[in-house]
Amino acid sequence: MFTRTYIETVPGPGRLDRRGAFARTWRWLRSLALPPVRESFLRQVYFTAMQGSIGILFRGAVVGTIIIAYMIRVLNADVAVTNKILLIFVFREVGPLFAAVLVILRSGSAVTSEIALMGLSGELRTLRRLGIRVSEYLILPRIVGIPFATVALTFYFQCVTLFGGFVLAPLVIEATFAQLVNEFFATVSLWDVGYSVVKSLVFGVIIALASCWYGLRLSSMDITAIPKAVTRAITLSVAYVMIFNALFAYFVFGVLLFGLIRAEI
Amino acid sequence: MTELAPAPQDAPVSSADVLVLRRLPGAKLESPAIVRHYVTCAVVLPGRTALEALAASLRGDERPEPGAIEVLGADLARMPRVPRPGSAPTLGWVPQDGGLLSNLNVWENIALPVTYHWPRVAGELPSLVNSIMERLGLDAREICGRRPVDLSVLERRLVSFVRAVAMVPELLVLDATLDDLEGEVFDRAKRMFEVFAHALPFRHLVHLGTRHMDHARFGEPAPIIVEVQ
Repeated sequence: MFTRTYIETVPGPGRLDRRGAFARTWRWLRSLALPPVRESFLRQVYFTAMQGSIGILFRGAVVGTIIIAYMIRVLNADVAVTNKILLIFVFREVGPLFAAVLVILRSGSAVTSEIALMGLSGELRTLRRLGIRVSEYLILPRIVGIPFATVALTFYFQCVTLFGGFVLAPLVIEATFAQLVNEFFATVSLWDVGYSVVKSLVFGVIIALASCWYGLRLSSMDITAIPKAVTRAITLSVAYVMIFNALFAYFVFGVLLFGLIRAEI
Repeated sequence: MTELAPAPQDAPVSSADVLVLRRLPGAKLESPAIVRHYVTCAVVLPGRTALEALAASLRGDERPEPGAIEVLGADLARMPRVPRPGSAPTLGWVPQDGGLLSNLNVWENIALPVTYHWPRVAGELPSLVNSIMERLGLDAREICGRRPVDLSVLERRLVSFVRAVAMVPELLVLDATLDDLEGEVFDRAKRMFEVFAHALPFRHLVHLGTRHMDHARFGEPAPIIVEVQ
């Protein structure tokens, strides 16, 4: 029934591994290579990015077209101003924030409630009894998967919104689609791309950490603990994301509160 | 107070019907127990029922004091759930409710600990699981795609048993797995003992029960039945 290979694969006595914190962290990250952890990671990315993209498509189109059209109209914008609106407002700021809020509402709440329910039903205890580390099987896929998915959603939102802006702007100002596209790509720099990628990544990490933290730490062992945990996770995720958003803009571009406070750069 | 008869020194060892613990000098059981061969027990804490504490320790709900219980030559307080380099013999556990993860199907539940700890042998798992399930009277193709919520009480326990056996434990604990079962269902569940003896002939199995079970119910060879009162 059991083959020799199966039985002999079970590790025998040997030296215990006593390496330091860096090595342990690296080993923790390396556990993504384990099939069940990898599957959990891919499932998380699929749920957050793929299923979330459907919502982004419609909402991104609405945001991109209506808000941009309104701003162009109110500011009596030309090509240069329109370009600035698209770059600074949509690409740098609204894109990552919008994706983060969507991830918080969809995935953050789902992760918190899933982990909380596993704790209440005894499944976390089952994992520990099977020798499976909760930090590797449950937490790691989310801490790595949600940031990746957030970056993907941000990029998707930026594309949809920019495209909507490029399509609508010629109806309001005297500019062609091609002019706007060329102007935009002439203005956007790697710095802007890196800024939005880093922001999205950090937003994703904040959301994953907050969701897992409150999922694991229930206020009580009854069913009412789940909505409380979800509410706390959502509220604090939004708060930390907003705080980081403001501080990051300040440190990178020297502006805080939309230009009210400027840094000495 | 019930005292155990001293273990016969020359009694043969058989994996399916003996739980071997080290006897502490002067140890006595504080609850009624049915024992058959040469099992010895340890008093865990003063004033506590030895078997209750033993059961809780074997389940992993409590950690006994270091050195209080020794199992198969290893300190139960330090006994790992999974073999690791330099570690003691391992403990497998089949809970009464099955202990399956609700968001995974049966196959994913069985494969999870094996693919997590020993991905190299994952390729051999399907044939192994198939043969164990066949002996337990389960249709692997039919059951593997189902979720735990769709399984009966017996099926959940049997699937949990398959998962535990696939982990190749030194000592497998069936935690009240045969409780609340009667008639044909009980007979099917009993197959776990013969399957274990066939699959892992040099390992050990213990059933923790909450009911009186005698050899007439189990037939020969009977496992050691340690009752928790």
